[in-house]
Amino acid sequence: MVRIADVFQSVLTYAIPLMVVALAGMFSERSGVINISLEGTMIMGAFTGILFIHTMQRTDLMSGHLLLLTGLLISMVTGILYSSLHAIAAINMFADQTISGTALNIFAPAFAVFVARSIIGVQQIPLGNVFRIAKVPVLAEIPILGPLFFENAYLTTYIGIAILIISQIVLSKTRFGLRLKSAGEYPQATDAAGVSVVKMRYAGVLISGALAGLGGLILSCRSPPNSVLM
Amino acid sequence: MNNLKRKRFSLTPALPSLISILIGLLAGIIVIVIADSSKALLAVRNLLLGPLYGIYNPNQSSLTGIGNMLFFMIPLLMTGLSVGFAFKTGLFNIGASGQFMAGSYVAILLARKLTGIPNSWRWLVALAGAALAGMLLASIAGILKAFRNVNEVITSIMLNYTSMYLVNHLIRATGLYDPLKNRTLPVQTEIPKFGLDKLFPKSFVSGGILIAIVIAIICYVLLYKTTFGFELRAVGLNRHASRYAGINEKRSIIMSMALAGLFAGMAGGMIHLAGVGRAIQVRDVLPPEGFDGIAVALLGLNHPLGIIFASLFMAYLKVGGQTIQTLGFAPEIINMMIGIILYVSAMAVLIRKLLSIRAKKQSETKALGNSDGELYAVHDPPDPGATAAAEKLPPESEDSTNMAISAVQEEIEEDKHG
Repeated sequence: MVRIADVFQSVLTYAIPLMVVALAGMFSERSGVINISLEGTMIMGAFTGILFIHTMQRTDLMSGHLLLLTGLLISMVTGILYSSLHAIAAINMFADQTISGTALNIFAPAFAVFVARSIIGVQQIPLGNVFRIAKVPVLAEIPILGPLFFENAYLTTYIGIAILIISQIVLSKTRFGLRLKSAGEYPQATDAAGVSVVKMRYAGVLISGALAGLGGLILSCRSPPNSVLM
Repeated sequence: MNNLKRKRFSLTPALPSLISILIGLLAGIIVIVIADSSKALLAVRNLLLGPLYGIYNPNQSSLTGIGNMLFFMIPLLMTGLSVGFAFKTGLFNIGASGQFMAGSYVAILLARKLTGIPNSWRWLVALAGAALAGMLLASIAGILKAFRNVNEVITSIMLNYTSMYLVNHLIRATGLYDPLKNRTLPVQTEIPKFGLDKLFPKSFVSGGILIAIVIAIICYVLLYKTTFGFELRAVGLNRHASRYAGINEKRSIIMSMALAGLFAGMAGGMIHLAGVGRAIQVRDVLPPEGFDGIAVALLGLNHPLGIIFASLFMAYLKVGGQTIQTLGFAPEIINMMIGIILYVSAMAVLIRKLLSIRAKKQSETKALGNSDGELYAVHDPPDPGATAAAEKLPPESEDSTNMAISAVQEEIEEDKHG
């Protein structure tokens, strides 16, 4: 039983970032823009998030899960900013979405490594593994489910699951979600109904960027070697 | 007829690429200045002129630098052709890396194991084997696309990893592994230099570059001058319409994917048979050549001849990047520049639109000064009767504006469909 729980814990570790980024891809795809630049957005999000956490850990201004949450917020903002480049190109500039996405994918790792080298001197930014929760109080005592979900867990696991549920509700139950889907499926009809297709697509791509940036940091801040980037 | 002939030499389609290259270079220079302004002048000079003056040693002749550039051009050109060819036929071959890897492995395997064949001919067999390996790998994706409509992006990405892990395993299993250096054993067989080593002394240049350029030209002829190529492009524009027109669209998809794989496989073979001591590193990383190919193909507008120039330019940038590395600048600046260039060139449609608006305005102001019949002639250039009616107009400028408009419109149409 213990060994199965161990396996499940590492499965979760790898599954959550994949899931968050897949949701990112979905939001963009559903609004009618192919977001091939997810990979680059992940790198940018991970980069700024890790850089922030690294600096804070050095100066002791912030620590613990407050630091992690701020880092996640920063990587989301970075993701939004970076993917807005894709949004401008794809929606306003009639650009080929494959090309602009590939371009952003090529740019991001180069930029991250370049800046990391300029600021820190090495390509890898070290990061202490302080975000692991050994045992969630009370909940870890639940038989079977306790060891599976609430031991050796990360806060980001629960954030990821929450995002999954929220995405499902937003996309199928809210006015915004339905409009987003209609912009992807039948933009002419959306336009005729008085909804701005451009706005919907912007929303899709920017949400996608935020989630991709988040996914990047989630992936990085718990990968085994604890020192991240490239 | 005259119109068509002159259109072929028009620079208009390449203009957006040239503009984006300029913007990218400018951005790169700005990054260099920000990074270290004290050495910026020297770095920019080295970046732009280094490839032409030889990099590793300032004493060597400029021809050595150009020879090295031609060597770096080989994989860029071949993978660029691979991706571009598939693009032209409506497929996105993101699996060039895997095909490259398969080709590299088979080339090394054949070069080392086929000791029965004389050394002077062995390279040909090894190269053919490399091409075949890439072709087989890519045709898996092609067959799945043709018969089961599986998205070729997904299958070829997955085949990338399949190929990489398989090759890493096979290197050990077939006794090609060098445990000390964690890579494949060296290969003695090499593609003959065809006298290029005398032209570019002391450089890495390999005869592969001539083969690659010949293949690019063959690729152009195949795509634009044969029925087969026409069918491939037609399927790329609209698969269903092509089937309606009697084209065997399944065969076309498989063939175009297989040929794309052939080019990528040959890229692997050429680089490892170039006689410069390249070997496959045994690690779990996809070779970057396949992804470079995407950038080259997009910059070259997916046109075989455009890809030749795009790959030459990228090789120039890569060699330039190595020269500034010696000054302490990170080579990533080059990748950043490539990213910016691609990003701007993605907006080619916008640039073309701006250009076409200008061209239209010019032609309209001209046409308004003449009679109605001539206005009609402006908008319908292919009609020979109408062109004859427009004889009174100054023929040169009028024709060229018409051509510019029709070329631009065609390109925009093409972009919409592609």
